[in-house]
Amino acid sequence: MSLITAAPPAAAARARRRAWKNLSLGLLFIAPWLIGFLVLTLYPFFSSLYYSFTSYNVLSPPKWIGLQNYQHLMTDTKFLTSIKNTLFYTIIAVPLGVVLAIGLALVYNQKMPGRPLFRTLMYVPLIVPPVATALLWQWIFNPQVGLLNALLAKLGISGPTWLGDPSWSKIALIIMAQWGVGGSVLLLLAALQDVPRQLYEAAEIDGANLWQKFWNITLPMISPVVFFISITGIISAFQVFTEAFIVSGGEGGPVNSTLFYSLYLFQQAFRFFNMGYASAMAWLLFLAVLIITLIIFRSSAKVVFYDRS
Amino acid sequence: MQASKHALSFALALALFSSAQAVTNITVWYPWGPPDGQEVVNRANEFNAMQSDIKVNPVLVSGSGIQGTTQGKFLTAVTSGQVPDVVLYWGQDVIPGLQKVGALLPLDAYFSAAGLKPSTFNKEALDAMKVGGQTYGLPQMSSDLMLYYNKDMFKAAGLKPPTTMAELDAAAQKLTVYKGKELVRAGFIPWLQQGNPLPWTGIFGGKLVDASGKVNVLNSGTLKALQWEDSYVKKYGAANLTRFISSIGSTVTSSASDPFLLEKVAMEVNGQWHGNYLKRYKPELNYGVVPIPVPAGGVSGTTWINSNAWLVPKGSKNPEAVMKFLAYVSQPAVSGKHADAVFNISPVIGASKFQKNLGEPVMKLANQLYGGKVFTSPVTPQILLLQTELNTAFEAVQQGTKTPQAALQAGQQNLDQAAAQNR
Repeated sequence: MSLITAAPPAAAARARRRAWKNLSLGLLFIAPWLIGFLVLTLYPFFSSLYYSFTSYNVLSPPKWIGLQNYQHLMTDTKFLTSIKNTLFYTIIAVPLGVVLAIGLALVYNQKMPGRPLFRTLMYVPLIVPPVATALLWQWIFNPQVGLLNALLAKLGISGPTWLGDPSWSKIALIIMAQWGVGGSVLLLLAALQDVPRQLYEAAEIDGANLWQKFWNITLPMISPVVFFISITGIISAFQVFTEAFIVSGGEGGPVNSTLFYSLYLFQQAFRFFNMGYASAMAWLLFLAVLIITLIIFRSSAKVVFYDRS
Repeated sequence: MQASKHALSFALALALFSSAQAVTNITVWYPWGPPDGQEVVNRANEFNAMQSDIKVNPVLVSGSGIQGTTQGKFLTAVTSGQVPDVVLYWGQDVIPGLQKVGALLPLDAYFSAAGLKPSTFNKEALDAMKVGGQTYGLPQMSSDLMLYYNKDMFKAAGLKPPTTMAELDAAAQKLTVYKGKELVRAGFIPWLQQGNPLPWTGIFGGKLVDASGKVNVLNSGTLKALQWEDSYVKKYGAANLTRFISSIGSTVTSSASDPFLLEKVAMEVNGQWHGNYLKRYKPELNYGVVPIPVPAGGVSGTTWINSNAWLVPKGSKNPEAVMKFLAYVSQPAVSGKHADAVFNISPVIGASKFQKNLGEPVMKLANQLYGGKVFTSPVTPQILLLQTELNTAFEAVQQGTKTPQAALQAGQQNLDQAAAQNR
């Protein structure tokens, strides 16, 4: 005789009604976010995909042109320049930022007087709005009266014209980007606090030096956070815009040296009214970042250590 | 009794409602702060005070939402239908591009109802606002360019104000001062303030748009202008000049930190409006103005003119009321008074009679040049891209990274590509 009996039909119906009521209540609570997501994120997201296959100047209805925008992009010299500029910036700024963040986190993890103050000061630049940061750094980089060249002059070095020199403008923006390293340092500090003390003790017993402890214990143990800040750093670097817009007046100069991908996209959309063209650029950027992120995720198993048992 | 009370209340309410409805509100976007912007507000207040049918509400939007930091605001407004009724823009160069995308209302049909005639305005100024024979803007104020020079510096160096390019280059060299290797005062830097590629192309006799309407930055005038700028780069050094320019205040717009005002440069190309800033911020500066020197074979007194433009966006709800306001500000007496206050030239025929400052050297020369050989921005839908490519090409030469020919070649390639791709 089976002990399992089917619920009577009335009870099943009550259970279904209860489940539906719970679902409806849940949906009601998340409705504001859901509506916002659908209307303000998902709808524009797919609209831009459609517009990328059209000639669209916003004021007239979009006209279907198929893959022409994408084809034209492949031969657009300024588009290729913007890719080059963005890759240069990303390849240097992101690793530099990660290394700097790790170094600072290791320093701030030491017991020293005034540690809370230094940790706070490190984070303060992050609360300064990006536009204000860019304006401030414009003065720091001023070749004649700026702080940086004044410091270099004390070391007997004649500083470049930084933002006024096409050879140095991207370097200047990369230096400017390190101003915001505080966020990464905070995450790495938390990760460093989580490294078991006994690993270091065991290593010391085996005669490991400072570098060996860092390379074999610290780095693997904080590798998930390093991986996270690298991925987010790459995504941000690919979208660099505000600082370049402010320091170059929206032109991407001098001589297109700060014409980054997002800035050129902005020019096409809002200066020249080529919304279809700009949408195609946006989708190419999305696909590029997606592919790069997937590649990094796939290869991360070799360098990111998650198992702590 | 009760019924008559209700009837009275109803009639009163209707009267109040009707009078409220009778006032047409029009919004005007204007692009500057004081003093120019304040005068726009003054004209609006005067118009509001003299009649009760239309109320003008001026709103300061930097760049009028068309250029500068608010770029895109105008287009967004037109797309959404929430447009201002009229926009005052600081130039006429954007008209062909805006007309091409259908962002502007043609104004010809509204002229007669507002009591306006095309003959009200200077012909060149009005023609610069036409596309395909239709009028898309009305000139508000006009400007032309001249060479400002520091009289004290010239006297100390024993120089006379230059009349030819050769004299200009020689004076520039003599008036340049170094402290060791560092440039501390420049005699002249061609690309400061209003020394932009468009005016220099015209001074050197070039034409950026050929007869067929094709844009050509490789024309002889632009090339010669750029080669001339290159000679300054070679003489003084790109890094030296860049370093110097970065330290001498605002080098693109008139302000209290203008390098000529600060006596960091001995000469500067600027518009007649700049005299107002010098009067305001440094009245003791001993300066003079002369026509921009021309190269050999050029016509002395040639200058570039530009007009601020009243633009009525597509979707403007009250174009008739707007035209009545524009008819008011285009009256000779009103326009003349406005021009006086902002050191501009009124494009309205007969307004100069009402200008009291025409005796000032700056305004006297400005009017004289306005009536002479003038040129203006080319009328082409590619004007914004043309300006972008010209600025990049000129910048490349100023930075010493490209030769004039190569720089212009790169710009022309981008323009041709954009034209072929209908961008």
